[in-house]
Amino acid sequence: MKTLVTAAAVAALALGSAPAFATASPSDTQTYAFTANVQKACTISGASSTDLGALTAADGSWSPAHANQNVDDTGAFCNAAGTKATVTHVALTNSTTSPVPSTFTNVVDFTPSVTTTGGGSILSDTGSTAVALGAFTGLTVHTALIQPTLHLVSGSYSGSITVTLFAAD
Amino acid sequence: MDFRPWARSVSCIAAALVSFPAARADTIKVRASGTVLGTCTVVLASGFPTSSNLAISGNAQAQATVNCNTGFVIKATSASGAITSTSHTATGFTNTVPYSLAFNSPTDSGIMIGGPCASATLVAGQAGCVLSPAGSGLSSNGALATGKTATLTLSWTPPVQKLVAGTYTDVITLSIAAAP
Repeated sequence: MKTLVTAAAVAALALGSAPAFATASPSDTQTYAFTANVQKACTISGASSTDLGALTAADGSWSPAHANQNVDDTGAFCNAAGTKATVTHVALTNSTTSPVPSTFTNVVDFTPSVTTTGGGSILSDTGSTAVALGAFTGLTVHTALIQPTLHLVSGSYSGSITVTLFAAD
Repeated sequence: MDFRPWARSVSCIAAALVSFPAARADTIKVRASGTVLGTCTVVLASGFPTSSNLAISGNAQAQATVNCNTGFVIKATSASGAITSTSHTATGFTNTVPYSLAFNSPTDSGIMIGGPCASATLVAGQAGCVLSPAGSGLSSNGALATGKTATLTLSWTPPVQKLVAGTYTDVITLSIAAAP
């Protein structure tokens, strides 16, 4: 008789405790997402100048001291892979001599170009059309003088290259 | 537990069926026993902010509610081992920001502090830090936690290389396991 009662009680205990065993969980996990953004940014260190030296020899013939000149801007950078740029230029001009005799010129044109540490390059004046340049941490501006067909009037010549950066994905 | 009344009625029924002589009163004691398993949960209380500036040193915090009715261990797993972006990199740039993760939480009888652990040590399979997923984990040393608020602190310093623009993410999985 004792055996019968004991078995019934144990069975009842087992049934009653079953839900507790099913829900117990000795471990758990929770995921945490971390998200941040790095904004697109471009900087260029500012205007710099370079002296191309003499453009002609003593006899007035075309003999530039620096037919090809580079200007480095190590502080420039753009962090957006889709960065575009325009490169425009104003030819070297002697604006103090006027009028210019007919067999002379007061303009020396050049081809502007830009190369970057990221491997991007723009090899000519783009006008207003932005061209892909990519991300970079420094750029170099080049000038390649174009020999004029006429003799140059004496005087000082100045021109410029303007690089405009457009950060884009 | 005393099953005396029930035992008595059962014995009476049995006696009637087999026509035993009148039963005398009897008693029995049944020892009941059960098991309460260790039960641990970790629930998101607040996530990391989404406006962090990775270009300067900083930190961000998230919180979890921890419950465990026995001693336990905490581990963390980083999905990428760093805060990373899918943006293409270029020479001089990086799309990866390593970080460190620290965990601290009060328990019912003290406090547990772990880390900081370098994010590279939180990748699956790594065991180089106290929170590493393949390590032994940060132990509560037998302490329980009842609705305790744990804090995860993620700290970073900007890498030497400049960061390429884009969205940077990582997913950290915090796990808790009973360790009586």
